Amino acid sequence: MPSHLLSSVFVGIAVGGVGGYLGSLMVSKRMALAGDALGHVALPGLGLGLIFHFDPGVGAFLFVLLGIFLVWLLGVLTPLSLETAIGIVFVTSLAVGFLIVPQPELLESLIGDVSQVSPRAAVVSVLLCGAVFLLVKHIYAGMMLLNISEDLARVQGISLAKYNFLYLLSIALVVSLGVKVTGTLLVGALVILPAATSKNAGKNLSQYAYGSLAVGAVSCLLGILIQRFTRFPAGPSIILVNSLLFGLSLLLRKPSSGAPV
Amino acid sequence: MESVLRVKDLQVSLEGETVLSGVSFDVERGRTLVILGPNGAGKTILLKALLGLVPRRGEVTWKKDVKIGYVPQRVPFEKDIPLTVGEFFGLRGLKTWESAEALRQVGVVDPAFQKKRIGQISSGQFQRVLIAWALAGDPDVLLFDEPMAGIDIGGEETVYGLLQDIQKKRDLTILLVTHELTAVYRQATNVLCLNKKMICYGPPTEILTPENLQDLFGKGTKYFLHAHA
Repeated sequence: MPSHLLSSVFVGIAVGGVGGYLGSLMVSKRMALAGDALGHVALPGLGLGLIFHFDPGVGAFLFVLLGIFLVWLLGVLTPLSLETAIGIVFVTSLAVGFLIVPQPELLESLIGDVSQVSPRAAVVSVLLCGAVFLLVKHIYAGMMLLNISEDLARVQGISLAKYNFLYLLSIALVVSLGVKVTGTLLVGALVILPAATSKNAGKNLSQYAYGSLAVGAVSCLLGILIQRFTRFPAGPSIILVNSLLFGLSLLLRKPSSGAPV
Repeated sequence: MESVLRVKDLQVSLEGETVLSGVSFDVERGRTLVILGPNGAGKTILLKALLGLVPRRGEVTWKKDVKIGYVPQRVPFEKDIPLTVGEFFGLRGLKTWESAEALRQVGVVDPAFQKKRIGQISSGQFQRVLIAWALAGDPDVLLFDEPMAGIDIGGEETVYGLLQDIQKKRDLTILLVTHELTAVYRQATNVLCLNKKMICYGPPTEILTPENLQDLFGKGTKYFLHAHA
């Protein structure tokens, strides 16, 4: 078992870290809940993977991409707000997911199980996390500038379409990597909570971004260890460690630092 | 004189409504064009159209390889993002010494200022930061959208003076949007009066007649040019 434990620890640290890093961008863009919703969109893909014996992460990734495309299509074809479009796609996928995911695997799909990950799958996941980290790092400054002022960013030659595409691609990748660790129901927390915690404690942007990465990685590590020693499932444990860290970070927050996250 | 920008019959429609039409003008190197008009006249839209940020019709010809700095009127900054002044400059790839140099140009010399969070500085200071940010790329042309809004009266004087200083040193071309007539007489080589369409265009002393001003701002507008202005 130690090789499984080691593998799951590496996957957890990598996924948690990159999720937190991307989350720092999503929370500042007020898109935190989009990650949560897209996690649910992954459920049918995960189910298909389990039924037809291919990597559920691949199925999740394809369905998240499909979900993003449908949200975009609804935005183009109808006057619906982005939130409404995400809502429609999200509940529909969840319903489809509940119907097609085989009963025994349903709980695992919803809250994740990283404990049985093979060393080989772990290596693939960690490498993918590294690639996504580099991708997010590449677009970070441009996305932040787009957050602050689309006009200023475009005058700097930053293409909104290109950056948004790379941004959504990063979200899709992180969600599909994250569903293995915390499941489709909880994957949103991997991006929201570390960033919210780090926002309370960080004095500047790099402290915020890398703080979020560190919080994400540490909470996944602790969550997986909790599973090892208590048999509580890792997914919910990771989220609760995150929530606890968030609670502690509130103590660091200066009263003058603005509106609630 | 070399032309930096040539605009012919520019028209902008947003959501089916024509917000600008019949705008034609030239800007020569090192000169200042002041774009004057009441609120809602389409001044900001004109700048955005020149920058290619909104769809436009007509001809807009910039000098080849021109570098443009842009100071937007408002940046709805999310104060909760823990971004420092220095990091804001870093978003466009500037090093600390480069942002220090840019800030010095707008009269900010305290090195600790770069460590302050954007959300915690005053709106006047933020405007200075935006001006410095635009100047940092060493632009040939600066587009200012109401750069004085948000800076108090004391500060306003230095920003006007500053514009003139930089222009002398650097051969900078400026397009300045404003609704303040004082700015026109101090800064402008040419004035473009705008109210959805072009009302008048030319050197301020020639075209800012009481008739034109009434056309622009409505009846009852009185403006006297004081000798010291």
